[in-house]
Amino acid sequence: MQLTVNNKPKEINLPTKQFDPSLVSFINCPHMKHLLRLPILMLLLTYGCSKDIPVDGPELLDLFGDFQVLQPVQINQTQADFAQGEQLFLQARFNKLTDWELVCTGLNSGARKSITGKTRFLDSTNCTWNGSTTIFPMFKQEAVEMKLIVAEDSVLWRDTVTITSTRLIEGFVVADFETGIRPGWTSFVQSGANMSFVVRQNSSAAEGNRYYDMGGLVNWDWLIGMIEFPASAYQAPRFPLIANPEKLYFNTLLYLPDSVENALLLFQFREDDNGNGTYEAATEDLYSLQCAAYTVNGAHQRLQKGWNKISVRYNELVSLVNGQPSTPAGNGRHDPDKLSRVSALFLANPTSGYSQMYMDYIIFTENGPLEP
Amino acid sequence: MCQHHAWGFVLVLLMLLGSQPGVAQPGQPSKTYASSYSRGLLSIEKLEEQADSMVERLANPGYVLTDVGIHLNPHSALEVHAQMRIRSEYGGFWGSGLTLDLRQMWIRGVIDQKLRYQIGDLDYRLSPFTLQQSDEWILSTPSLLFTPQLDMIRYDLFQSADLTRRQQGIALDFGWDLFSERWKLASSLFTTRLVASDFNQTPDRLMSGGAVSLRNLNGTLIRFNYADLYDVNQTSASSRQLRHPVGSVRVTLDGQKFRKRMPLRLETEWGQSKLEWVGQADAPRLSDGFAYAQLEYHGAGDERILGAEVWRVGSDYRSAGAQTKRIDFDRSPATFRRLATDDQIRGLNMLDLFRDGTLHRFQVQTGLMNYDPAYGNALPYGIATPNRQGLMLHWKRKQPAEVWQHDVKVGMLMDVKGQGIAARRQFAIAEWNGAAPLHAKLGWNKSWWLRASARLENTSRADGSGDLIDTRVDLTNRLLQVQSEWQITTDWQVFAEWRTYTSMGHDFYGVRNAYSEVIDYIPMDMNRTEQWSGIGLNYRVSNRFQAQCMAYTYLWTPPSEAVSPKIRWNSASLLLVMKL
Repeated sequence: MQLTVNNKPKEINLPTKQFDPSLVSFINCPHMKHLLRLPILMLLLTYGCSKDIPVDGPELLDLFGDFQVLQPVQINQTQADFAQGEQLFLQARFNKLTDWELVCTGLNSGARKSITGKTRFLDSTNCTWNGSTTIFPMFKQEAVEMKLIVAEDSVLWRDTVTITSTRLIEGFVVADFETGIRPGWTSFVQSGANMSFVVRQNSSAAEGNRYYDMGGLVNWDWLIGMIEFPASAYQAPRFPLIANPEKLYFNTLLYLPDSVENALLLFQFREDDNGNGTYEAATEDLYSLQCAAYTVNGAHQRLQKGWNKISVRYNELVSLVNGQPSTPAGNGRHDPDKLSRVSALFLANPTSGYSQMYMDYIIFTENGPLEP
Repeated sequence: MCQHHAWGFVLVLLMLLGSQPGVAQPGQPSKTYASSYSRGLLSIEKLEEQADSMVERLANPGYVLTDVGIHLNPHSALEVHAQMRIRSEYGGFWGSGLTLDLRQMWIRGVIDQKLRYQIGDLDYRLSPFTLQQSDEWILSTPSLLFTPQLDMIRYDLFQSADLTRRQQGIALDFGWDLFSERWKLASSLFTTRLVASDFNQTPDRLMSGGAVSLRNLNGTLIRFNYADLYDVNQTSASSRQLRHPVGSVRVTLDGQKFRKRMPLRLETEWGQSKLEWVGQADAPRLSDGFAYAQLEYHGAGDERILGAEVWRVGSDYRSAGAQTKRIDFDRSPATFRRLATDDQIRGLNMLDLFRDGTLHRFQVQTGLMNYDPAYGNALPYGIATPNRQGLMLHWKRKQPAEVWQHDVKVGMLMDVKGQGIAARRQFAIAEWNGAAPLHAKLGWNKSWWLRASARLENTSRADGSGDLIDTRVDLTNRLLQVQSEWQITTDWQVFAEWRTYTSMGHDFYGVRNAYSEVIDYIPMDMNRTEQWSGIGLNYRVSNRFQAQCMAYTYLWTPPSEAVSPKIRWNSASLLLVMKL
């Protein structure tokens, strides 16, 4: 027999017998009886395989129903010792899926924490505050107003709680400026106009009560001033950091004043690759991070007005020469356990006039960025 | 081997086991020839917006194009085809309206009289649930006024009558005789590329699969279908990869080929699908199945056909090859795109759907495309529409040309899972088409046909949530059409057509995310009426030349003139189509 290669083989003419149009005789055919069960079996199989969830998509009631509170909002306690790991959380139940926002505002500091969600209930799994901050400054020991805002009902609940101690942040703190300039830090400040490389005490500090104010006008050089944090200031040849650059984060808090458009802060990270206790520029790695008020060439963090949280994974630091990406001079490997010095260089275009920036809370954290 | 390719591996094994090679068809004789398709369209359009004041606008679009195809047969087992399209817009300045494209190209042939192949553009189809184009409900009632323009769009987008999908890649066909020639095995494999990598975040996206058919002398056909849409690893910087395999088994029993001949034909199909994004933790993994059965009674030598279909498609069943729609409802119309009264984008209407080729698409798309419930709410993705189960009955009577012609289709469908509420929507479908040969009644030599069509689609759901929220659904889409066609001479016909379409009621339209999950609902309140009427003159010589001149009026009545203006669209057009 000849067979075609396509999907439509030639029809085969069979010897015809008496044509019987009877449906009864068709169904009585023993083979057909068996085969007619096939579609029924398949439908049953598909029903059997279907999932038990009776509704496809979100419930209409959640989207279009009237909002009702089934269980009034309650808070677990009115005082929080965050340093001891205590947490505040709300409990409530609603009749439908609800968009909500918990806003905590420090009555002294002005710090704010915002927690949002879309749920039918509030409990410790979705509406817990551990003392962290969304909008700087960070919370202090103070009274805090807590508000629960529900889209359908504006402010649904309001109460005041007291922070008896602020939360502790794990990590290696390079500088928080709370005790001024640490012995061992070195600084260089140009002899320009209105220079202000000083630690200031102010309640608007992002963390604690003090921050480092960098400002001035230098019309002959990009560098306005700098401060360096050598590992030796912490009584060690290298910073006590883990070796894995993928799990280590460099964090700092930077403030950009409203009127400043030209500020550029360059962080430099010098590694003592050969372990001889000295950084050698020709043979060892230098990585950088640029934080600027404007768009600059090369990898950088763009700053907004006010306080900014900068968090960068250590292995994402880049090698720069005059602001342009370059090849590291050392082993080319990010080795945070060989970091021997961190420098902060405050720069501005010499033709752009006065510039200023505040710096606070430089900290290395492990396994995640800083949660202030 | 990747898990998602396991089905394909099984299919290949099935083809290799217990078989002996057959003999392929001989190729065509050696020759070179050309083919061409040409058409021209010129129309005068006038749009009147009736809001607070009357605004009128005019447009006179027109173009002429020709497709020139070259077929080369270097030898009897090889054919090379390339087709160029030259298109000229009327009024293009210094040739700026002139475009030249390579429209299609393929190479096909037979290797060693056993293996047939095609490389380049290819049209492919598996089954209605795995890989096949489904027709749009709103476009499936033929119109004397606009079907010729719709046919142009279908030609441009390679939408053939056999519901194949145009793709680019390679296909192989081969077959064997099995078990002393009592069974024939035919198999087909394909791989096509749907998306090309941009070497950044977009990887190469391929579709591979095929079918293995086993047919015996008694009219039993068992067919395994498989289509796998997937991203190719390492063709982009993205670690996220789509995996979308679909497989089915289709069994057909043709009683007329049984030894004891039966006037019945049974078709069944059952299958499963999976849709997931590997390397993206928050992406869902959708998996579901379907089952389908159709029993048809063929009486009096196929003159009377009575059929019943029953099927169920799970709510998470996804099949990009079968569910990709022909119309992209996210697009805007090309003609009179903005309303003059408020400068808003004009919504799509039935006239646009028939005439505007920019709204149509043929590329397979992952997920579920948006649709307009006013233009088909029961089966927006064809019979493979997810979350549907139901029963459909159809009756068709083929009779000599001098007798009344009828066909009827009715169906009851239901959601598999309620959308947004446990109560499920019910869909009622009814369709009737009739044609009366008036010339036979009047004893005329020249034909005079009067045709009428009525289609109804109702979606309903009782309120199932008490007093908390009104979840009732009641949406009715209704089409009525009357046509008449007079034959003046052998080649000339005069025709007239009137159609009215209404969509009234309320439903909740499910908004889907990028993973095709329902995440929200839009309350849709329909209250629109569309109507067109027109006359025309048709000159047709076989299927190779057709000229049509027509004039029509289209009316769009919105639910409220505060929402959008009432539209009257008058047009006169002339079109010519030539195939050589």
